[in-house]
Amino acid sequence: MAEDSEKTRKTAVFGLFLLLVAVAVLCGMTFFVGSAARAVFLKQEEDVIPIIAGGDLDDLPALMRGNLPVVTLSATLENRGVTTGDLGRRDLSALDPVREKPPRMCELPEDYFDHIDHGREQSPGYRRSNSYVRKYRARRGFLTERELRAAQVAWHYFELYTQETTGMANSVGNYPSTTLWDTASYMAAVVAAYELCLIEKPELDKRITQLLTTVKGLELFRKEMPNKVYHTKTGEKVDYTNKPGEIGFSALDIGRFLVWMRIIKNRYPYLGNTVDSVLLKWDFSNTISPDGLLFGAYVDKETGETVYAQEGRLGYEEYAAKGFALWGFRPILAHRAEPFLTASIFGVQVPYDGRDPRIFHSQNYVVTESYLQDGLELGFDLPQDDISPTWLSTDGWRAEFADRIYEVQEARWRRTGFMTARSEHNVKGPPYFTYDTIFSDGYPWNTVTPRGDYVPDHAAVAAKAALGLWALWDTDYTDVLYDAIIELYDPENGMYEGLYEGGQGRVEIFTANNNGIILTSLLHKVQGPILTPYKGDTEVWYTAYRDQDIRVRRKYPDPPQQDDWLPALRHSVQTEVDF
Amino acid sequence: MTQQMKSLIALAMFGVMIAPAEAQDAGAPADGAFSPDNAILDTGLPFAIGAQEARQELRSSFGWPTFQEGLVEGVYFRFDPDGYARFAPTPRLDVDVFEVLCRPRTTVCLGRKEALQAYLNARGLVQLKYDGVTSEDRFFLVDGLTELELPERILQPLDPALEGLLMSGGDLVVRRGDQEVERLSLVGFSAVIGYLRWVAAGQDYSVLPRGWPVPTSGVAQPVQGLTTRPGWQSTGAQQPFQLGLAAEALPEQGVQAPAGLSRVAGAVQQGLPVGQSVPALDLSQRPVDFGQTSNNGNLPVVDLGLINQGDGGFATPVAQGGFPAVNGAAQPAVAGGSADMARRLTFLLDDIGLDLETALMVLRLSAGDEASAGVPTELFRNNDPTAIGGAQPSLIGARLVPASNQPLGLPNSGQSNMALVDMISRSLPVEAGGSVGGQPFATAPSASADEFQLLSEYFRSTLASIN
Repeated sequence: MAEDSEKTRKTAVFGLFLLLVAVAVLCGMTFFVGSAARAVFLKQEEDVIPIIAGGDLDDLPALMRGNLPVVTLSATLENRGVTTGDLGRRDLSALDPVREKPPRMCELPEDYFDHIDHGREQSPGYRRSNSYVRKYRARRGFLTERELRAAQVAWHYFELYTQETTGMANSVGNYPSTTLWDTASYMAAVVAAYELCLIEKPELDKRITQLLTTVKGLELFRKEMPNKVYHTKTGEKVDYTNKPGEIGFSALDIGRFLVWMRIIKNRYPYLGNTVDSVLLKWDFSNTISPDGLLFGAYVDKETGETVYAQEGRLGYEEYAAKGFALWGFRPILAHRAEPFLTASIFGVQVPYDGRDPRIFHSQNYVVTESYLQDGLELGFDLPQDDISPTWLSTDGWRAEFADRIYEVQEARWRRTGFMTARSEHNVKGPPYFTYDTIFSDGYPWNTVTPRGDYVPDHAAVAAKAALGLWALWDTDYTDVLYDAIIELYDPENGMYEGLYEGGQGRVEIFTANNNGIILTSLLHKVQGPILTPYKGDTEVWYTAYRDQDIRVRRKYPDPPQQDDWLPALRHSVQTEVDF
Repeated sequence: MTQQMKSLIALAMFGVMIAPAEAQDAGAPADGAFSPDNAILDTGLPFAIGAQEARQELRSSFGWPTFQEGLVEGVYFRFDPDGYARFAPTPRLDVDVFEVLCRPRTTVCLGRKEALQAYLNARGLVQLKYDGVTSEDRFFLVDGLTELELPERILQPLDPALEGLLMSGGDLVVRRGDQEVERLSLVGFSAVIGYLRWVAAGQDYSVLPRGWPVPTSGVAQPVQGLTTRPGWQSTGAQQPFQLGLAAEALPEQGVQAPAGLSRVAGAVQQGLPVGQSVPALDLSQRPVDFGQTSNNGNLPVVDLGLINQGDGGFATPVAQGGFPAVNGAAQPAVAGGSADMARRLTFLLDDIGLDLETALMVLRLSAGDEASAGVPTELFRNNDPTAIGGAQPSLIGARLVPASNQPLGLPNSGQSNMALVDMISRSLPVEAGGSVGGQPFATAPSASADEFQLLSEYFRSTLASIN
């Protein structure tokens, strides 16, 4: 045992040797690892992408320059890696390529409509994303001879009543005044006339350029926003009696105008700078509150000061809000339906604005028009939506409410025999204008004047409402409306305003709004929703005045990102008749 | 055919019917198109106590930005600057509606309800027209308990008594033989007639609309907003007088008129000299057989204040009797002397450049005799032009502004001379008097200088009480 112990005992020299070897190995390995690591690090340094100010990795400077791309639904889906392979699994059955501007009617192939996806196999109702599939489908197809004739006559109104001096069109016949609302109707008519091949591009360009040049040069209401009314011959701002003066501005009118400015810019990008230059003259600082409500303005009679007042009620308010949102504003509250109530009419729960007219001194008219415009121009979609098919409405509750507005009017026809397509419309002689409502002031089918008189004699089938319903609701009832209205014209003046339901004949007055909406309805049949996506990378609207404080003072928005989107909401759905 | 269509047709016929009296308006547009020139009323001037201007909710590019609404004699009303008005017993103005339409750019208006039409004729008297009646039809006034047959001349210009009777309310029944053909509520008739006269007088307060405050009441009752915010633009020209009579400062309704004013008003109404007592007949106590009175041609003198209940016995004293001198449509032709006087005065003021006092003095001297020059004596009495057009332009002057062919409101500085001349000219026929069909004007001769003075005192006291 002792011998074995001696044999295995090593000397101190051996121990020292072993230590040296270990140290040498360790140093060698350290050197090797260090060299290797250095080599790796040096190699990685060559692959790092530097963050350059204003570059893709530098969000803030890019935003400050305004050239950050506007984030739309399609961009978001691409970033999330959603592909068409996700169909059905992630409630993104709507995923399609970004929408394209359809060709003009005369350039459409004959089989164009054979390939249109009507979504007829889709069951109606809300989707998980709060988008909505309507119970009804829009009419699509080429215009028939009757429709083309109506389009030509409607366009003739604008040929007749556009002022050469300013390029503005009269709101009503030969009375030389207009609002931004009616000017938007004129822009709609020009676009429709071009797309339906009633006019050619030179005339489109001439009319739009002259009009926008005039609008850009309009004297604003107190250097802020466009006055409510302008004289079409002189371009002067005027009061309601068309005498030089100022009234204030209307957020609803401006909202509709913004919708059509966006449509023109997106459809005809070469007009983009002209379009932007108009809006870059305006001061939006008092038009949208931080909460996202729209404000109009009027002049206090006693003090002469500007008074800003919330403007818009359910229907018009949301439509105008989307017009602002198309330009990057955030009218969050204006876009919400609340506060709203419903009134049961023929078993249909008709939504109306819940703000008490006795408190707020603003009537809560329920008419067809604003829903039609939303459907025809925006497809009941949210402003950020550039991808969903026409049968899917991403602004779900708007589409669902619109269906109710249609259904209650059809129900009235079926229950009482009265053809019903109600809207606000002008009349000949006092009171000159009526709100021919589905519901207002606590009464169904209430026809009232702006001052509140009940005037049932002025109840009428509004031509614009009838053809708008016909375009968006492909039903037997709208066929009846179509037959009643499609030949309701005077070849020398345009489409009549409507047909009195009491049997007094036609509403013998001709207006820009009526003829413009009729043209829009006919264009929708050919091309679907009028608004098409913007294809450019950036816009002057977002980049201008970055070197000054103008953007801050006038509250021009930055390019909207996903956090700025209007939310997709839903409300309870009526599933059965409710009396 | 609907009420609205009937109204338009009736208005057109009405316009044709009175065209000779309004020849200067022959060129007025009649196609129903909106025209700002049709504004004849300032909706800021309250028609009745508590009435208030409100703002219209306009979506279109034109229209009347304001209107006036209120409650008068139990009926709600609204009217626009062009005179278009509706009177009805419900705030919604939806049933039993009296509608008033005016010829464009004139104060010639027509009130109508169903088949009944009412308007002022050239003498300022109320005239009715009832569609569909025949010469065999008889009219009755029914109040639910009693029934009173009305004379056939109901379709002729109404005398004050008959007018007052219809204003008392009830139903107007048309019978053909024993069969009732038509029945029409007269609710609102009184208010409409008052409105027609008020419009015809260019909203002048000498007509004293219903429920208008009286002086020295000393009770200021703030008027609550009826429907709208306090801020809007008014279309009609703002008369300075309106500023002094802001709605907020109006006293309570129903306060008795001062004795002096009632006396003057009553005298004006009945064409009697001031100070003469007015015999009264209380129709509520004793029915009147109008058939009989019409036969003998002597109408009983009716105390209209008693007939018109609810106005505190202060029932439009001037308006009731008609006041042709203030009605543009009823204005008699200016006498040749006065026209000459006006022409000379215009020449002195505009072409020579004299001030008013000097011009009047020159005229007086050149005429030698004030009366022969056709100038009202009272205008020269104290040689103080402010007594005419300076201190009280809105009291007397506004009353005399022709309402037929120009918007209401005081003339601007550039027109002041013409307005003054016009005022003087139009005061002349009042003194000249006249007759139509052998009947003397009921009121024109009574508008003497003393009455002007008294009315002026009235308005001064009103302004003083407000201030």
